[in-house]
Amino acid sequence: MTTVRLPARCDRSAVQTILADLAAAIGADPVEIDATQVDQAGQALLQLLVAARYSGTGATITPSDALLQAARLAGLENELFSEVQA
Amino acid sequence: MSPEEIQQIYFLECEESLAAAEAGLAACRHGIDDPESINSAFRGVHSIKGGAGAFGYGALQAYTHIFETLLSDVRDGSVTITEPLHNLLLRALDVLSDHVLAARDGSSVPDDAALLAELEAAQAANHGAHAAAEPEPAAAESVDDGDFGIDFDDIMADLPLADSAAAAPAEGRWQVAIRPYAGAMCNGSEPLLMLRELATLGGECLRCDTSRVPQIDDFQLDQGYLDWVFTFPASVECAAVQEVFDFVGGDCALAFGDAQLPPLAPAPARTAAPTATSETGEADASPAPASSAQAAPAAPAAPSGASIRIDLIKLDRLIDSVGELVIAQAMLAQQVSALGHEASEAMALLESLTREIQESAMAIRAQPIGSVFSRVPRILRDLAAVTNKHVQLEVAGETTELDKTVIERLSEPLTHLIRNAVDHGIEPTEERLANGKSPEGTIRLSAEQKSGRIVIRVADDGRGIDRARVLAKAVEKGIVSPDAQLGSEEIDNLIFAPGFSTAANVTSVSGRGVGMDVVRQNVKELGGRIVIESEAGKGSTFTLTLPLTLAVSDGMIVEVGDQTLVLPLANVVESLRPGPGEVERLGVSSAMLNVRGSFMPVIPVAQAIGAGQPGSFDDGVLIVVDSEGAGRAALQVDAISDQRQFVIKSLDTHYRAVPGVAGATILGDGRVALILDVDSLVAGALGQSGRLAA
Repeated sequence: MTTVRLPARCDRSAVQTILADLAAAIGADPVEIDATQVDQAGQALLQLLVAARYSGTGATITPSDALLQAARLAGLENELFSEVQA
Repeated sequence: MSPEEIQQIYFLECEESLAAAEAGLAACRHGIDDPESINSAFRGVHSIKGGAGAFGYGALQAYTHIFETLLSDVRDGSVTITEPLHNLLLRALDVLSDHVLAARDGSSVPDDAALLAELEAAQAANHGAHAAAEPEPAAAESVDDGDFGIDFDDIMADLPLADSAAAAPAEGRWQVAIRPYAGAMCNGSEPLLMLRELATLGGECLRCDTSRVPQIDDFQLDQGYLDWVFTFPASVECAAVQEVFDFVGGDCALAFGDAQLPPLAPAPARTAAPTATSETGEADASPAPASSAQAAPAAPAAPSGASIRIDLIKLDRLIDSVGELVIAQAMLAQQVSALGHEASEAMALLESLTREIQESAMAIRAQPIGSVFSRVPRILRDLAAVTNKHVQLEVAGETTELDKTVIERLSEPLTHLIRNAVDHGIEPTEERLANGKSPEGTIRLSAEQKSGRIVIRVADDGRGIDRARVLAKAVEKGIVSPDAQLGSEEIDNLIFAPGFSTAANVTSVSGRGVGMDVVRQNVKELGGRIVIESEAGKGSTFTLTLPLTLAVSDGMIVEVGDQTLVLPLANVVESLRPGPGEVERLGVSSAMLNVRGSFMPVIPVAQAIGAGQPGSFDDGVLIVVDSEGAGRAALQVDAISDQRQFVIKSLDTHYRAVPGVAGATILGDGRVALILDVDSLVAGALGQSGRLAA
């Protein structure tokens, strides 16, 4: 399983790097996204994580509290953190 | 911003959308395969639909839904546009305009049943053929330009909702749908911060629609892929929610609604559930390109990023203040000059700045005349239905700008002129063919700016004014005495007389003799003039000359007795000191001026306004003026002291209407000077010249 680690500050420029990392990582194997360090998340990151969940065999995300709260606020808690359905 | 204000903005935008749709459909007629034209028509109708849903105008929303579905099919090319279909779309647009009016004024909804049936029939005919030829699943329906090519209601029904019970807001709550476009994530904006504010207001996320999120390989950073539906308790006002998004303007589409979600921007949805998509690994629907999604945000109150809307009252206040500034500057200049100081550089700078501010303030109120011209096609279609005369419209100079007030008050006279041209000017098809003309008449509408004034022409290629008939009718109606000797121009002007009409029958189009009288009155009230040129068999041209603004005008400052008066420069033809023998006396009190062989009455202004006895003709100055009703005359004044811009103050508002006086202004020395109403002054002094009996 490949693990992609997210930085604390996930602003738009950080999301650009994360997109490249995820695009490279997602394939036949499931990907684990370590988001435990994330303390700043916006729509750009949330929708990228949704895309990651939809792609390939999907991805498992381990969130930080900040990311969990952001996802909850945006109504994406289930979408992002439930068991991978693939 | 209150819901009423948002609603007002919506109706303003409806007008713009209708005009855009009208222009789009008109362009289609000339270039039938132009996708952008039909697209702009579609966008116009779609924007109206979005707001209609948000504000709960059910009938308007239902109508626009069917209308835009057909437009969408035309745009996609699945329905071929033909002449009958084009006509149907135009008629549908007219009814849409009626629907918008009904929603705005709270009047009864137009009867659209027959037209809706036609629209549905046009679409259904296509769908039958289309489905038989190429049965394709809805999921494959892609939107080539990222616009709203999909029946959004169907999409909403198909949305992959984790919990269908959560689809409806809890009782007592209302909902708003939010779609941040790409721009909402740029320049420091962050949609999640806005969602947080919504949560602070008591909002709860009902659902987040992720159906537009693509697979990672197609993911673009500059795109917004998420839509939200938030619910609020009834105690929260929608204005408070709107305010949260004021900062991002058009970068975020909102749709308010309790009962059902109004359609939002395009969502070429992944109709399969996320799992299915990841299993197949296929992107079965490409995401909407960011640019086009941004180009057509469907929020009812989304203002365009490059402009703001300002309350007209605030603008008027600014214009008033600028008017005072102009007066104050003139007073200061006069006082400095009276103190014997030479004009300093600072005074010159102040003067140029004042003028600059004044011009900028006026420019804020300026609007393109196209907003009035765009209503003409509709008028022509309505007239065609009644008179069976189909008229081609040629428009030029629609970007010419003039004051908003002038624009608003121009609509009525222009409508009358168009109706008059179609009803009286343009001949029936058979008559045109018999005269070797094209079967369809042509009306040319043009506007241009000329020497500080706006010149608008309405020209038709019809039969021209039948002067013998006009004169006979005027005599019959007692408008003119039977023995009157009138020139061509004077006969033409008779059509502006109150109660005049040559129509044999009173119809819905014309015949009551109200229209042209109103035209002249309206144009006159705007400080403008109207001139007719007509040639039998070739057509007529009505030329309206209007001021750019109603607030400031150019005038000649004249002295009469102990009075200082202002003569609007628009009326002035020339000024002269009469040479020996150029003024011929007629009896005791009348005189005629001979200007290069042409005679006109001399009116001593002092006598006309009751300012004492006039001086002799040899000492005074004669100013040749053009008046609407009574032609040219020479006004006798004592002296001309200046010629400059003046700020018009209404006498009606501050005092009461005075015959012969159009208003007042404040001079540089602080004195009030009356502005002469040349038309009524001349007409009054000449007693209608004895020619017009009425």
